[in-house]
Amino acid sequence: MSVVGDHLVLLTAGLTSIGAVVVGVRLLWLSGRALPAALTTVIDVLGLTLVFCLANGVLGVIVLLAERHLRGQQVSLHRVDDIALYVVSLLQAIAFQAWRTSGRTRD
Amino acid sequence: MSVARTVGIAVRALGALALLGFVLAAFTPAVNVLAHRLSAPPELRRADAIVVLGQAVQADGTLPPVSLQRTVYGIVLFKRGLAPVILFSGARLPSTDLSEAIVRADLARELGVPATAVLTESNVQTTRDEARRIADQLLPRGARRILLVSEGAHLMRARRLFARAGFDVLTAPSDGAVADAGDPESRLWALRGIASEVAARVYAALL
Repeated sequence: MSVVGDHLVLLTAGLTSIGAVVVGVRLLWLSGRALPAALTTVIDVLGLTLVFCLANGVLGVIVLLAERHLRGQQVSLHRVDDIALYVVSLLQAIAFQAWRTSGRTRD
Repeated sequence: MSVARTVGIAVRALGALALLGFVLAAFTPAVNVLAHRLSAPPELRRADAIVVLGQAVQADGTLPPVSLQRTVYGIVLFKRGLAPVILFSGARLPSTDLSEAIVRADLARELGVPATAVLTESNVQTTRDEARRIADQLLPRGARRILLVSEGAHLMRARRLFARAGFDVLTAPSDGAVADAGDPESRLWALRGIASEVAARVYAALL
């Protein structure tokens, strides 16, 4: 594979990120100083995604074990290893992070 | 420190770890090194039986890619003359007569394996079940040395279970001698396989 081919994902992501910064600053008048906070939010969402993944996975195993027990027959635990679970966990994390940073708390 | 702040710090630390893990997994050979360490090596010597471990069968009676890869590799080993019999394992689909083992056995016969050399075990769901049931079937026939076929990472766990069931186990990884994943997508798939196998080992250790 070529040198570019080996690093295609990094190259394209790097170029579009630079493009996004230029568009944000020049066209949308966004503050460059707010960028680190935005990147921190991404890290928070990743952390929450991991938490939701683990919670969904553990709960999934418990539900399948309960199903095995109730039906009296084997149910494969590999059903927990579904790629949709990662996507759902990401969506849960985005929603929870938006809620967390909404600044509204109960009085 | 408030609970909200503590949770916030923990979440951020997890996120940083996840990001670092993603970068290492997708863009460095770290996953390949891990895969080599967690995978059983090929030990292709003559045995009393070839045992192809189960994975899954689809509702329409077709084998998914991983199951098909194991099946075909088992047949190739049989055709090389490494054992006089080949046993296909694989669970029955709930509420049907369809089983992965039977689908595999049919395929083997269609590919020229003599019917008398083909055995099946359908009453299994886990690797632990397979070790126990297959021992019940093969050990009374005097087939003690087996060539076990599955992915390299799965074989590390399966080998222990089959040895405990009384077999002398040789491993035959159906995914080759751990092919090095060369692009980010392949590395992430390899990582997923490793994570799944590690979870299975933790589960097996706990129960």
